[in-house]
Amino acid sequence: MSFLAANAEYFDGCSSRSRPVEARLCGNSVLQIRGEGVSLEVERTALRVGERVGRATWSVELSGGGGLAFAPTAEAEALLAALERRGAARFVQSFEHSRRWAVAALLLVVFAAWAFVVHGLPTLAARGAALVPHDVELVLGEEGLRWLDELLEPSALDEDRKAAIVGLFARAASTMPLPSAPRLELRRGEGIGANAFALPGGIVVMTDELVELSRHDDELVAVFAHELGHVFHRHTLRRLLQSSAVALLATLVTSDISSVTTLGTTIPTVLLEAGFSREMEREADDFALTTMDAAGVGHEHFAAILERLEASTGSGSIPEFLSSHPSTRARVENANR
Amino acid sequence: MDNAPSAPALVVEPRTERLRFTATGGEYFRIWIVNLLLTIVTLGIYSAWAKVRKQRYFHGHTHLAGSTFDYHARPIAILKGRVIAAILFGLYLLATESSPIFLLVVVGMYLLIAPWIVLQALRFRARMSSWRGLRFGFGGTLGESYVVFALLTLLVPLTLGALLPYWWYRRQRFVLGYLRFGATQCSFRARVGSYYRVFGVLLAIVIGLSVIAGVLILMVSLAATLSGMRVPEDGEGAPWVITVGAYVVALLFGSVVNGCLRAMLGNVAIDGLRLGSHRILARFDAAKLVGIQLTNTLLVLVTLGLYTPWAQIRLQKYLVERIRLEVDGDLDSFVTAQSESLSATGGEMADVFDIDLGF
Repeated sequence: MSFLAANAEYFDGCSSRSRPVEARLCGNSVLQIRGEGVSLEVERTALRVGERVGRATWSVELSGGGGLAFAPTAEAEALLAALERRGAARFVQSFEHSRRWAVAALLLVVFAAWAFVVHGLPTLAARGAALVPHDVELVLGEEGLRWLDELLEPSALDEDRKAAIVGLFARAASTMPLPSAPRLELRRGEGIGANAFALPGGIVVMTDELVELSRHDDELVAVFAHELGHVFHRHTLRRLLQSSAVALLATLVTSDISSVTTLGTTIPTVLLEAGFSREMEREADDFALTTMDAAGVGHEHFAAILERLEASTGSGSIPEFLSSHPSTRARVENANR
Repeated sequence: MDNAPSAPALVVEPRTERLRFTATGGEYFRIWIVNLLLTIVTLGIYSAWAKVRKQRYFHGHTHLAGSTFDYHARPIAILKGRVIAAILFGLYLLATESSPIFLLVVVGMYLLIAPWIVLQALRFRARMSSWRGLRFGFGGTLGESYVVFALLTLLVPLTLGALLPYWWYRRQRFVLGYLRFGATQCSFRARVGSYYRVFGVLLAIVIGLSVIAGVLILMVSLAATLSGMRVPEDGEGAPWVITVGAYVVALLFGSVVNGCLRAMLGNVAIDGLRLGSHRILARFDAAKLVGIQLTNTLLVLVTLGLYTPWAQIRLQKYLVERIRLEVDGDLDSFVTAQSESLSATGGEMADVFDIDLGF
């Protein structure tokens, strides 16, 4: 008669005494446990094999209390394999056991992480941004402006010029299909130089240096149109949601809670360092060119301010207006088409 | 053999049993990666099963006096707890992003239910662990949990941190002092004075580190001003360096403080612990622990998280193997508690919260 047997430790469940025993499966239904002072016959239905994980000690619980502990030997493996129920746990065990599966699992995890960051996150961020009410977005924008103001100075333009530019902005915006009226904030750029930003909630920030760089009001209209393109597509909010999700993921991986910051404080970082994606810039450009057509503003103004901006950026950080990945040349050509 | 009557009173050197941890990073990596994959594929639901497999792996590799520990929780119970925890965490996230009044309400609710959750978690964790077929248990009361996790938690900021060492003392006394193994109770003998001493040392470390950090920041900003005068070719590099530098400084600072805290308080708490008449001793070395945590964090970052299983095993091995049991008599005579002879199939708890409590 063939049987399976393995050495184990037996505990009676009442005391912490450990007794060496031999566990033997006779036939197919009864487990015999024999050792010094121990002689038990346990029905298969009255025991439960604990989930086996790697080569950590394997255990069997007996329904009367007490149990067996097996060192991970080949005999114990054969005995427990015969005793345990066939279920999902065994499937997982065979996964963990195989080196090939481990490599496959690793590749799949890396692929899933990549797919999530490249495709999942932008989609989720766009969906999430659509759910954010306008007034919440505006609160975020105000918070971002407060942080941006740490880097900027009040505008030094004279009041007449300021009023004229704000009027120009309002007129340009009124021709565009925006959900709510945007607002222009003028600032002196200092270290940041000629630049313009779109904040959540429709706040557009433009520096005096950019105003001084322009030679025609329609060039400013072109910049407004591009920034309002970002506003229309809620790019800053989407970018913000993406970067905070990445921060959250990084936190989960490294378990470092201290790296989580509130959303608003990251706006300057997003605008100045991360920038928008190639696709977002193209969307903003397309929006700008289409709305300029509708308002009867020539594309050459868009191309002119782009080229002048590029020529002016000898030092300092790259303006947001230029920070896109598509080359300025391609964008100028696109505008001239 | 029978020399008792004539022999002089012998000073019997108490037998010490060291805990051993035999898990390896390579083996755990395969368990970890399969857990991770299945958790992703099932959108997080498998995480409860993953938790049980991890705990069973860790318990089954922890040896004391020739026998290993065991973990008995059922994943479904953990899943329930996780769903509730996720809802609470979602509420908290919502609260931090919206109105301050809502935040106040949520924080109030948290203080109201946190002590109950902590108690459930401590009970669950103890009851799901066993050694040589005997379950652990936890006998802390809800009333004391409220004192420690609501009242004192509120008082610590109100007293500007003067109660912080006392709060830690009460917390560790609660978490460790009410543990029992079978019917044998633990007792917690550490004194509150030891906690004030440890926090004094820690304060000195924090002040020392702050001075060093201050000098470093001064030097960096000086260097930045000097290089700013020379006008860098492109200013793109500068903000990155500062951001990364700030992260590195924060990481170093946090690791040193955290490692020292864990090591010193761990020694105080565990050394003050008795299981019946057996003494439990810990010899954590702050410098060693800081070194392990720092290199772990660094390697996890460099490998984009893939080093995590090795890091966990390495830390656990250090923590486990620095704990010893000074045996009084033998370890065979513990008995099960009368009230809770848990059968193999029954004995599950209905409501379970599974949260990490640090200790």
